[in-house]
Amino acid sequence: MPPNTDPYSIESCDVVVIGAGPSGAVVAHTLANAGVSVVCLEQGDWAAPNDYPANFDMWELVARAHWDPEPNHRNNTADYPLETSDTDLHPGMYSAVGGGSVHYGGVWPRMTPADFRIRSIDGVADDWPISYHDLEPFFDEVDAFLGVSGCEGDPAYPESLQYPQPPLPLGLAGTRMAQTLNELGWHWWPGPNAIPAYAHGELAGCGRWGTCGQGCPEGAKASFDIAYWPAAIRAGATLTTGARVREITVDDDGRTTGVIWVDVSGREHTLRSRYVVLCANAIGTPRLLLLSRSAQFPDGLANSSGLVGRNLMLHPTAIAMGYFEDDLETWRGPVGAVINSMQFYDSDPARGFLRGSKLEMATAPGLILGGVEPHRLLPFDQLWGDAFHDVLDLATSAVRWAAVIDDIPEESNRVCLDENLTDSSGIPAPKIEYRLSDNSRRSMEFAMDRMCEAFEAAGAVRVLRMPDVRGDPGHLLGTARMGTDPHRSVVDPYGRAHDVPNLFIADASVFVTGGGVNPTSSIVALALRSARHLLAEIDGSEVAR
Amino acid sequence: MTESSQAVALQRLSVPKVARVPRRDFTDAERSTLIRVAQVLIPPRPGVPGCHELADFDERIAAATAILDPHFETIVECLAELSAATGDSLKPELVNRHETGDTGFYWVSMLLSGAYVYSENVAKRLNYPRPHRNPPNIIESVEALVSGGLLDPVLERGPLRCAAVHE
Repeated sequence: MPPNTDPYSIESCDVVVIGAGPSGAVVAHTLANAGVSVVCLEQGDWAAPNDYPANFDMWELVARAHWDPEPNHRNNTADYPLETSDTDLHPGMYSAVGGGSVHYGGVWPRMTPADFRIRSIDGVADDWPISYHDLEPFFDEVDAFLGVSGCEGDPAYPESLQYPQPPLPLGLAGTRMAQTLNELGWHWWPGPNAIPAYAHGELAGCGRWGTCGQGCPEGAKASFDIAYWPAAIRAGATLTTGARVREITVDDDGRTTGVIWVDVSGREHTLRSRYVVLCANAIGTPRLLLLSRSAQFPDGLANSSGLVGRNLMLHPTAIAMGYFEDDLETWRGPVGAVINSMQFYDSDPARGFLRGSKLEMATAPGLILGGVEPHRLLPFDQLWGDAFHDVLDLATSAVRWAAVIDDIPEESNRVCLDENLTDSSGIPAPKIEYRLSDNSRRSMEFAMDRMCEAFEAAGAVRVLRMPDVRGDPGHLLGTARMGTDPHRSVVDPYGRAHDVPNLFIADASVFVTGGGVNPTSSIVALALRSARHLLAEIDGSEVAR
Repeated sequence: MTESSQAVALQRLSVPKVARVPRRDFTDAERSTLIRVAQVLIPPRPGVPGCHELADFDERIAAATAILDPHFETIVECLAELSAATGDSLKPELVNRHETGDTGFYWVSMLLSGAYVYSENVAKRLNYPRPHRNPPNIIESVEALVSGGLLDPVLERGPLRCAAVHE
């Protein structure tokens, strides 16, 4: 694309990428670096580090009133609504350049080798058509680009796993919990974070502001608007913001011809392309496929299997808060994962449920977010009145354990189109139908008990259980899963739609199972692998798996 | 640039606008109700001021109200409803709203909590830092991790099952 081209006037390109979140950023960067003409359409726009709550007096009020993870509560211009009357969990997401990484904590664990084989191991769901080792070079490449901080030698992973930067400090709280887990005989390890210890690329070194989940004011967290997009744009990628795609178009041969998108004034545009890559997250992607119905694809694009939108996984989250009388300096960051424990990650028949969860511990900065809000679950007199002063005193030393639950995929959990609700462009909104399984509930209860046990062993003077956290964690997975059988999957092992040969899906929709870890590291490794495969096809070269 | 692309450039599609001043002052009746609610939710204790006693109460309430502008209507509606609860009937009403997860109560109590927590007096009493840059000494922390032996028990137990490769 010639420099300074008005993005609204572009009529054709080699590849159009839909969505500028982590996977879209990686795909656009990879293709543009190879000289491919790539345009990314993003319905949101840019957030800057000086927009984030930490820049404001009363930053916690700004966080609660303006940066809610749920789009229905946030209502930014770019957000589309979700119909949530039939779901037990309320998904979080962010419509912006950088997508959900604007809001995430930068927690950066990989899925484990076992996560790709749970059918073989536990007899449930399906194995992935690829393995950890297929993804390993792509994990490593993204980690190196971002300057991920972490500690090699974790017994929960293969010995080959190393990190380009040293781990962030455990701090007083992390050290206390690590000592406790040693006493309990549990696994723990310093958390890997997409937050470099030292300045790296576009990112600053961690300044421990403690506001990672509401955006880093210093630009140290690898949200992909900062970490990847500047490099993608320098390489020649075009990023068009305020561009909401309403349909993927196809020709008589069943190949995609590009997209129709709508700008903020409501005007429609047509963008022709040789390939389309969907990176709109596991709710936005099936929504768009279902919106792209035609005589040729009456049930939605790429949906001959009937699985588009199905097998939605949301990683139910259980949180426990612990309060200590001694000063653990819990106002310091990072807030994502100071330490992780994989002690209860694998199935154990004695527990009465399959699979498990990763437990992650972090500080809980903020007297309101770490103190007042969790206490709202208690009776009135334990938060308000004279108790309020005790709550504030305890909140000065608040620690958080969270469990990422591996929710086994079920076809009845799905994304479909709502018949009544529309977004601000008049496009039908997605409806979320998700019910927590008994297995997930038992897994959550077990994880909650273990986190509380850890707090009590560490000497916490108060422990609160928070089983239902709205909008947290925002892990959206599995609605266009990959596989080798077109009757039982939507895309092939490289993300190519079985039904539409020049349509790729490179976001977490392709997950076969979800694992029990924060997924962004795995999402972008998969996206990089898909992009490399597409690039090889464009170049006409051999494709190596 | 086209008209449409100019329109995008002038809007913030993904970032909220945080107001610096309230859309209007609370009326005397609203302020009176707010103070009565504050006396129940955040009362004084010996040596510790209650919310309504803060020297900068009005300034803090104004700043918090501005930030909570998206919920302003909800707040004033709740205050109007609570104005009818007087004397001993106020606390049971607040208890009920707390226990039923009333949205109006949530934002009114958030308003008071924010005003209180971010007042100068309370900040000084709690000595709790606001977010600020405090970069770590990485070399020191890594040396402590390596030489302190904290990881030794984990390593001694060996690999977990999830680390195994099942090809």
